[in-house]
Order: sequence, then C-alpha cells, then structure tokens
Amino acid sequence: MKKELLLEIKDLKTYFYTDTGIVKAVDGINLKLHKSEVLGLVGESGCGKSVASLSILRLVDQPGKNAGGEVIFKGEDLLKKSEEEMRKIRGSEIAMIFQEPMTALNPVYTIGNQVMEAILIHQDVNEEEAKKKTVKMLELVGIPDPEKRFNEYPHEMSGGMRQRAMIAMALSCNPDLLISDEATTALDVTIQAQILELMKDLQKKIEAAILFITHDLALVAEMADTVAVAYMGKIVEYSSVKNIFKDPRHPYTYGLLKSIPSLITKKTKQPLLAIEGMIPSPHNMPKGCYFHPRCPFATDICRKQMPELKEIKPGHLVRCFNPIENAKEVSKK
Amino acid sequence: MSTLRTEVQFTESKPESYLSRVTKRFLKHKLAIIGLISVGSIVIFSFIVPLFFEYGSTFSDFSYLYGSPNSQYLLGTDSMGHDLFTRLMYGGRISLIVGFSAAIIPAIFGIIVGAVAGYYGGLADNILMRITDAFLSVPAFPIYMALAKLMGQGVLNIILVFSFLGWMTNARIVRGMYLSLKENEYTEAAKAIGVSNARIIFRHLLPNTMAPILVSMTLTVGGAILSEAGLSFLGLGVPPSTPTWGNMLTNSQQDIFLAPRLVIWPGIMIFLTVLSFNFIGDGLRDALDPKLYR
Repeated sequence: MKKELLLEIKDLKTYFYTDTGIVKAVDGINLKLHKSEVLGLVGESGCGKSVASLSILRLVDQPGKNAGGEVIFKGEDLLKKSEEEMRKIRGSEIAMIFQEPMTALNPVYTIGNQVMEAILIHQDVNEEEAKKKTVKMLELVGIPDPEKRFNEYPHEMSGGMRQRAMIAMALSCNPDLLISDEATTALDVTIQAQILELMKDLQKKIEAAILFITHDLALVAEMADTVAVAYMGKIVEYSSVKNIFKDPRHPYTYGLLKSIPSLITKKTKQPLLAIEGMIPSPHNMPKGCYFHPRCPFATDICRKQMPELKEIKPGHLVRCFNPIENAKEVSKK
Repeated sequence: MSTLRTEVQFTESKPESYLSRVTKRFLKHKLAIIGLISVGSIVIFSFIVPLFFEYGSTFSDFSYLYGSPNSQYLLGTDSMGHDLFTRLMYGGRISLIVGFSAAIIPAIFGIIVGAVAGYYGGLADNILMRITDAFLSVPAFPIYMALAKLMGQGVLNIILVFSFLGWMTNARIVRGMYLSLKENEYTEAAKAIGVSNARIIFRHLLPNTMAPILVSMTLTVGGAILSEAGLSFLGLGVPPSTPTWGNMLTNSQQDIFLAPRLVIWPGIMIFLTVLSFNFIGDGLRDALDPKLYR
C-alpha cells in the first residue's frame, strides 16, 4: 500500500546574507515525508538541520532568507502562503518541539496557560473547555497531577517535565506533522528514553508524521523509518533506516557510524574511527564535493565537481562519485 | 516511594509564586516601607481628609490675612486669607494627579514605541529610535515653558506637556529589552504555535519588561511633581486659583520673610513626596531584580 504524501521539500534553499558573504545554510534539500512516517534528519552541528526545519515553518529570521525551492505540504506550497495563512498552519497542522525546554517556555506564564494558548488560537472553544483539554493533554504526556501542574511556572518544573509540557503544547491541536528539533538533546539519557518512548507512543495515537532532527544516530535508529544524512546544507545520503545502518554508501555516513563506540569494537580491539578534520567554514566552502577534504576515498573528480544525489539501488540515494560498495569489507582494512 | 512522595508534598506545600516572593523582598526594604507608608498618608491626606473639612480650596477669610496658626486655621492663613492646611490638601491632589499621570501616560507611549522598534528591528527600529533621539536632544525645560505658554495654563495641559516630553527613556529601556527578548527560544516557540506578532509583543514579552518599567515609573512620579512645582513657581504651571504645592510656593515668594511657614509647608510636602517615591522606586528595583545591587 502506497502511503499518502504529506510533505515534499523540493530543492529548498535558505541563505543567510551576512556582511562577510552569503552562507548557504540549506542548499537545495529534497525530502519526502509520508503520512504518519518518521523521517530522521541527521548531521553534525552547523550543517543546516535546524535552519531546514525553521524554513518549513517560515520562521527563519533576518538575515536568513528563502532563496528558492518549494515546500509542498498537503499539496500546497507553504512558501507561497501569506503570513496570515502560515500562522493558521503553525501549531495546528505543523507543530514544533524545540531543543531547550529550559528556555522555550515563557518564565512569566504558567505551564497551563502556555499549553492552553495553542488550543485557544486554533480551536473554536471557550476558556473552560480549553482548560479541560489542556489538563487532558498534560495527563496524556505523563505529567503527574496535571490539575496542580497547570498552575505552576516553568521554573518550578524539571527539564523532563518541561519537555513533556512542550510536547503537550505541540500536540494539543493534533498536528499532521511534528518537527522535533533535537528535542531530547538537552535531557539526560534516562529522561531522553522516556521522552522518546512518549513521542513514539503519541505519534501512533494521533497518526502524525515526525521530522526528527538530531545529531545522534542511535536515536534515529530507534525512531525513524527513513533517514536523510545532511552535510553542509545538502543531503548526502537518503534511505530507509535499515539501509543506512546496514549498508551505508556515503563515506560521511560511514564515518558517522564508525565513530560511535560500541561493545564490539572494544572486543575486537579496533580503534575508534573519527572523521578527520573539521566541517569547512561556511564562508570558504571547498570546491567540488564539500566533503572531499575529509574524505579518505576522494579522487580528482571529487575536487572539481559536486556529485549529484543518485539512486544507486531502489530507495537508496547517495551523493558521491565513489560510494562505498561494501561497508564490512572497508571496515576490515 | 509513595510515603516519600507525600512527605515531599507536605513540606513543599504550595509553591511560592513570583509575586509573593517579590512582595517578601519588598517588605524587607525598610526605606521602601517608610516611603510607602508616607505616600499612603499623603494620598489619604490629599484625597480623603478634605471630605471632612468645611472649607473648600477657594475659601478665604479676609478678616484674617497672614493669620498665625490657631484652632480654626491649623497652619494659619496666607496673603489672601486662604487656610494653609486646606490649600495643602487640595494642592496635594493636583500634585499627585500630575505626578501619577505624568508617569503612566508617557510610560504607555514609550512602551509601545520601544516594543515595536525593538521587536521588528530594521527600518522601523531606525525610524522610531531616531525620533526618540531627536526628542531626547531637546532641552526639556524651555520647551515645557514654551508649550505651557502656547497651550495655556491648566492641569491637563501640564500633564500633556509632560507626557509629550517624557516617553523617551521608557522607549529606550523597552527597546533594549525587546532586542534581547525576541531572540529567546520562547518567542520562537510562540511563533511556532501560530501566535501573532502583536500578541507576542504585548502578551508574551511585555510582562518580562515590567520590572525596570515599574521602577522607572515610580522615579518619574517624583520627577514630575518637582517639574510641576518648578513650572508653577515660574508662573507657567497651574493658575493660582487652583492650588498646587508648586504655585503655593510662587504665591508666597514675597512673603518668605513675613510668614516663612507659607513657603516651608509646601516645600516640606514636595520634599517628602518625592523622597518617598524615590524610596519606593529603590525598593521595587531591589525586589524585582535581586541579582542587581546585591
């Protein structure tokens, strides 16, 4: 059964026009997200993951600007909508969970007030019904004693509780698409596991699709159906989660996977591999493939030309001239 | 586990709200309490006590000019036979009304200008802030005098003039705060749930700027009372038929050696009121932002 297409990003570009030159934070990203599917977007810090997610909601601040492409959500291009129409979509059809639960809640309002606001804006309910709904949402995300917590201020709650409140806020209007921008990064691992469990649970319940942005490959393996690996504003590999982990083709993906310490590498006394070098300065991008200065497999053509995102086997796209053929063999070397 | 929970809840009881903590800190500030009590007494003295007095502000006893204090006229009478005590009470009304209005009206205006400039930034910020700069570079007192002359004398005009020239400081404070507040993640989060800009400016961010605004407002009250006294002293404020502490000083200029109390009492009232408001302002500043000044 073919799933219904919910979000299609076509050649999306977001550039920052700074005093020192144009920074191509998002440089021609293509993504497809089907209904109630989880798409993981992975990459190092500074590779444009967050900007990409903000671009979908059109929340990129000056000096950042959309420089082309389309964001087709339910058949309509969000980039062509008016600010007024966008406001109606934000929060009701596309919701977002932010990285820092410590700062993403306004310190002067109670938790309940803030969750309730989304409901009051997007739904035709009076304050009493909204309050009831809010308490229900708080209960749904596992906040104990929701009636009491409703009247508490953000500083009275722990990070995990706040992130639960953020999730309640995001899900209060049953969005079709939930963007989670490093939603668990600021939490410690046990809380992280709880929050992920909760998100997975709720995702099934309300049948929302999730764009799951993270730098943590382990989380992607846990959450996502398909994975897009981003490097310097471009997608370098795109496939199902199984393919990415079992059969990574792009040297960058391979490097990311190899740089995770595991019990097996310890047993076999294999040294932990790291990707050499640093991400290039956005003001001084290398010619050709952006990854070539750090790539152990780079050849002459890599230094001259940016490779295209090619389908090398059904459902597996790679942006590389020399994709890795057999990951297992390479790792033996 | 469950026993532990109930214990914790027992000791924690109801979490302390921001307001109650601020109140607690304010109450620890002795000078501020003195200021508050003194302002309270002055308000009662000006607005409630006159209700129990038989003479109005225009009452005068021509048979008892420059009269010294006695049981009928508690502080004596002035050159026109007005009862000084009554005039002080009615004068307090005007001075306080001028002080409060001159603090609140320009604050509202300044908040709007500063919020819009700081939140939107760019061109709007540039235009609004250059206008603010222009207003700030005008020497205030000569302009007060010119405007007072132009619009005629009267309480309302004084308030208008003060409002016209008093909003810039607030605008600058608020703009600065909005510049940093709009970068906060919760501003972005609010946008992400579809909150409109106007609502973000006035509902989400405004409460975060209230602390310095409140402090600046209390300090403005004292300043406005002083300025009113100054203008009235120069004969450009409120006309002599309506008593204010300022014009009571003016009217008694020539009598300063004949009957010093005619000058001393209004002077003491002005001094006390301004000092009290400044104490309250200090207390508020410490209470609202304990990180500073400690």
